[in-house]
Amino acid sequence: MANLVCAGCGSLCDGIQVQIEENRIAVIDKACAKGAAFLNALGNPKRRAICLVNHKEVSSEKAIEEAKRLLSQSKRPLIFGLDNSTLETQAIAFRLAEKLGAVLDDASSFSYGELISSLLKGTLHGCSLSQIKDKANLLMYWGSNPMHSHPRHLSEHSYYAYTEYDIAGWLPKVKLGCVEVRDTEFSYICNPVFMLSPGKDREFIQDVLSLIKGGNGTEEAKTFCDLFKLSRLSLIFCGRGLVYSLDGDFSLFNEMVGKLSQWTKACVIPMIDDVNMFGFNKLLRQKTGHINQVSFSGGVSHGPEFSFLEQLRKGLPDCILIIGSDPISTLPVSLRNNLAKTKVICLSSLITPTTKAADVVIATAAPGWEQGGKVIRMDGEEVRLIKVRESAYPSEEEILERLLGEKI
Amino acid sequence: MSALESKNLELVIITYQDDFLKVAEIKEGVGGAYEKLAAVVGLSPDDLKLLGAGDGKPVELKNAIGSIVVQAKSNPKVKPGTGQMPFSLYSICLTGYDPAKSKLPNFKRIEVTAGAANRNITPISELQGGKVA
Repeated sequence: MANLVCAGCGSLCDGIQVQIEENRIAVIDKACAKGAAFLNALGNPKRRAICLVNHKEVSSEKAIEEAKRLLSQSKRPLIFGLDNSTLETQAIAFRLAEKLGAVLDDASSFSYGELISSLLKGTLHGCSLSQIKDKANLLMYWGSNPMHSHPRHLSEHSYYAYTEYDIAGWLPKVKLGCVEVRDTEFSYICNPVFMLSPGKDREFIQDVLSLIKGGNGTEEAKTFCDLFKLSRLSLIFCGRGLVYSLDGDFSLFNEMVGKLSQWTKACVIPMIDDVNMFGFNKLLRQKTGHINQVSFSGGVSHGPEFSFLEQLRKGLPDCILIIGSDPISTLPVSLRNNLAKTKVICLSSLITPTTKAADVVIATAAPGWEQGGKVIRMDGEEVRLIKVRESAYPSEEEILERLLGEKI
Repeated sequence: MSALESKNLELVIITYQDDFLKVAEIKEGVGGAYEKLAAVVGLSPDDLKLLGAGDGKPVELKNAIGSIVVQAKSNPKVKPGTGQMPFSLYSICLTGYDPAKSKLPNFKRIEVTAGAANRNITPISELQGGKVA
């Protein structure tokens, strides 16, 4: 049995056991359905990406050479993705972006970027997932259903990980609440549930702030504040529901968390789906002072005009290198159509709609399975991915080194 | 209102992450199992009645961005005037991005007009986009 850290989602659960017999996975233990599907897919040749140039199968060598040719001819290259790549891979990709004078961005620029930026700057306080169990008195999930986004999150890191139970022995000794717009299986186990109309998160935050500042507030806002008053350590887990309801503007939310901190140690953890989005933002900030949306053309520039979305909307890039990401499955349809008009090189371990659409596909070893390395989890903690087996495919690191034109 | 009578409804579609859909996508890629789980919209029983569409019947969701036909599922937990869909290649067909209106794409709250459809569910093969050979 091999022990590994599952790279199937942002939870990065450790202690997953895999038994390989006759070169195939015979047993997977302790993984959730998503993790097990991910590991099985990596062992399934029908799901693995193959190297392609113009939809025709070629060797790795040929695919890398074609990618190198396209990038060297490009006048406005863009590098996107890397949220599921190791820190080591990200560092090489940043060097490649610098060498090419490329625009560099990841999915944080249209998801958790603002929140991660606040955590990196210290405007918001984070908390290690390992410090939550039996210590936090309040777990508040906002716009997030961990049962679907991170299936083992509750049992590994939060509610069901608690060893202390209430006096009746029924429930973990912690308050579990959520702010939601839908009735879900998760909201069913939460008490209280702050059920909002879709898109009304900002109004709810304003209500809470008004109450804290001595003004009027709704009953829900009062109940919300009372929970924080009674707690020593409080966690707010922010999901995509909150991000999109606030349209990525966390200024009011940050103010609210700051005010709540007069009563409790209020910490925030973004429920990042990707394995290493936090790492991308942290590493790029160390290198450039910015977490995303950077251009290396003529020095370092930063701004919303360098976001992947804006670049695509304006049809600016003439060649896009996508690393470990599947934007075709997530982009609004108009941007997806623009992606189809440019040259696309895709590095991927699995077949995805993006590999099906790309001009060049370079099949890669899978991080956390055939490639080891460091990643940074949603709570800012560094986690080491373990290489479990050898791969027939080159790693993302090796491919990027080749594209960079240096020896491996 | 008889089953033959139907009208269009203005709905706000709320999207969500569905673990079962993700598992199907990872296991088999974007294929039949993905389509079955993604091409659905949960509607309140009252709205279904107004649409003149039965539980499990096709409904068309359309807006200025695009149009899809998905299977309607009656769900008493869904508030009238809203619909619930897993985030997928289907929902992004209705998703707009206009930085003059909002900083982020409208992934989570999508305004659509819904109506009973006399067409089949949009096949997933039509939605994969890009330069497929």
